[in-house]
Amino acid sequence: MIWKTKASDAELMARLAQGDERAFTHLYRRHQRAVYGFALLLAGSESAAADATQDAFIELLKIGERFDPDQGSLAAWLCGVARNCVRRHRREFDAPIESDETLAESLGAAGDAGSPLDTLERSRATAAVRRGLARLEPHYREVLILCALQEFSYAEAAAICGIEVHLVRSRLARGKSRLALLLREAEPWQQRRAA
Amino acid sequence: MNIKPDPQAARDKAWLDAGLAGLRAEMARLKAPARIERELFTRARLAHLGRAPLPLWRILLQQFFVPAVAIGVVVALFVPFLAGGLLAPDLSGEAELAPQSETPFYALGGTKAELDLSQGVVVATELPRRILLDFGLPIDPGELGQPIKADVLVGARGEILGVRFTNRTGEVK
Repeated sequence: MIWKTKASDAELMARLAQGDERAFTHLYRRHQRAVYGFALLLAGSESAAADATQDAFIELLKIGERFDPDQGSLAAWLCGVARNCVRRHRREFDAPIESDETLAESLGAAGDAGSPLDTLERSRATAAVRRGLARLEPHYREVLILCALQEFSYAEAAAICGIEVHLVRSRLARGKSRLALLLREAEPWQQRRAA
Repeated sequence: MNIKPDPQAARDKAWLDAGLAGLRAEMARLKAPARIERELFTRARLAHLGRAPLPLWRILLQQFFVPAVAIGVVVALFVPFLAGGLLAPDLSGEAELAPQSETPFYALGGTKAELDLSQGVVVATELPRRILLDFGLPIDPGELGQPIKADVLVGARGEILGVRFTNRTGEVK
């Protein structure tokens, strides 16, 4: 049985370096959602996301005690490895993702509580953003996923993408504008429910 | 500046914010497929196995028992042969038997019972070659840094039940 632990990532990494398998399980369960979610939205494919997640944690096993928490958070480091894996395996990385059906299935799109009309409206907006994100250029998409969806800091997003912090800021702003434009093209505001 | 706010831009922003919030909620419920955890757990256990110090009984087995058995086999085979040649072993079939394609499955985790392959799934993998020492198997020091092909028997809960070493690609001695 694996219990939840309050141990920090650095403590768990130290235990992992000493051969504690449970430390690895704790680390995996703590970070798998962020890594898999990022890879899934970035690659647009469940299998590619699974491969990237697996590669990231295999790298974690390899680096062991050489991981330096002063250089950045473990979550950011794992997402960076997953990003490189997606880029390596997806030759057409720069092309937009064709379909978001897989994404919708994988993300388990479902309505929240509320009136049926509210629920419908929220799921329409979510589906529209998911589709728009898939059509967005990857350099905007990755920054939007990291900062707008996963709430990584600008510095962490910069480390993951291997760019300067000011580029993260500008890509986030431009990415949001581009996404809003794509949403408007796909669904004119007159078709949306009046606020 | 006195610029009238663009109502369409405000509506676009509200729509985008609602969609991003919905996607965040979906991601919060997301979980990576269970098979990833099983595979990673197997690898973590194998990595740990490769790093673990040898237990005393394995050191004794490796240092004394295996050489003693080897000497015994040599004596049993060659003393009668040297004595008269009448009981010399028939090696004519040796070429057909060697090289052996794989070792038997070695049980892990203190399992005393004989391994039943239907208990789990056989997964092909590579292990650090020094693991051979854990099982009292011979190893060429020159190849210590190279991995060795192996099959692991993984149980339903991801636990490793057994391991066998193979020479599928011919590099395993």
